[in-house]
Amino acid sequence: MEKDVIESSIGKCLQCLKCTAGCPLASWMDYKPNQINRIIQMGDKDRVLHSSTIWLCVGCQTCVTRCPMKIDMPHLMDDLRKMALKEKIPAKEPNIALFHQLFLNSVKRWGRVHELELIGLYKLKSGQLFADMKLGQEMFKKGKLKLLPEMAGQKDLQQIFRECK
Amino acid sequence: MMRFSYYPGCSLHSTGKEYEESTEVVCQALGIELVEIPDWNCCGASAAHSLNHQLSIQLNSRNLLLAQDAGFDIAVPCSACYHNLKQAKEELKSNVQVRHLLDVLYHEIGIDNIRKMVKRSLSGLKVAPYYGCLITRPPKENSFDSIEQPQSMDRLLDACGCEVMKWSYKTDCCGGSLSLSQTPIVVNLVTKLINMAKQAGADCIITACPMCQANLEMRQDGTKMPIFYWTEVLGMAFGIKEIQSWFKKHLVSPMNLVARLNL
Repeated sequence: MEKDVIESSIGKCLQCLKCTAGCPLASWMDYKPNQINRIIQMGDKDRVLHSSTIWLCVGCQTCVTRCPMKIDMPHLMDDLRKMALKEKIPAKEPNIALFHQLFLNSVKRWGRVHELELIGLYKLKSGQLFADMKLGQEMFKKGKLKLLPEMAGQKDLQQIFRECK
Repeated sequence: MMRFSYYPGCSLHSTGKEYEESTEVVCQALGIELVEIPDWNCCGASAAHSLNHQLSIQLNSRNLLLAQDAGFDIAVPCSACYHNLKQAKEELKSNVQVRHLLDVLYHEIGIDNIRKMVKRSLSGLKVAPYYGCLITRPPKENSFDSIEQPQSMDRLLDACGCEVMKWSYKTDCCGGSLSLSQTPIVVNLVTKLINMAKQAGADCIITACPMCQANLEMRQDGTKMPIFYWTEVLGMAFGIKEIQSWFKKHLVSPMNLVARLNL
């Protein structure tokens, strides 16, 4: 599947730059979306897996919406991240990877994400202990962050997580 | 009475509580019965597909099956949940229809019926409708609104008497899940949206996604532009009393704006 996506779709890229022109994150990426395609076409997958691009992509779907060749770049980015993790390549944007991982841990544990726990663990593990302190307090006061988690689908979710390793 | 399986998603039970409350009240007023999917699980938000595409599909497969058992189409107020459920529905070829609540009100209830419900015209309220990324994208044959120039929220707000400002940023990205892990980027993206809405003459931005709403409120830099959920605006126009309790939950208080316009 992953190899298929790369071989069948990236080969079609015309380098028209529609994706990069519309990408909201392009200014912060080390390789622009069209460059990612080009590097893959040239066979240097490793460079792509080490890029910040794969982690900065938020999956806003603007690129695939405007691509004249209908290349599903957001799905490609999903696959590239998965490949990078599998090959144990350290994420160029470690905090983004950390946030995603902690989010999933929370879903696995409770079935629904527990924001308060997620934010707390993220702060501890990223070292950004004092960021957004005031904001967090205000959200808690307004009842936007619950003390206790909501639980759902416990058995099913354990199985889903086991199957999707 | 129209009946839907309701998928609130995690945000509507926490950071987007006022979205849930206004959704329920407005739907009740319009004769839409929302039956919460029993024991629904998180859609995986951006995290699941980012690290494991299959996991995202499987998490949502469970929700689709639960809705299928209930026998109704799914109505989803959160754009991120909507997107994930729809992706899973398409990959798994499920029979359950996944519909954004905006789609339900626009196409099933219709503008004329919405207009009939308006007890208090919101004239003077200058709004910038903001759809964000995931309501219309990626384009599918069954997309319920124009991909690049959506109009459904514009028309609903217009029916409420709002002055709907024209702007070019209604589907630009707010930075989504990067809010904590790359805050400066989200501040940059959000500040641009706020400035552009202001330049278009808007006093506030209207969203249909709890992620967009939170980012727009938390990450605007040096401004205090109120960010409403579209259901809150409908609630205001319908003369619903609970609006005050929704507005109290906002991180950027809309009270001054509401008081100034005597709404």
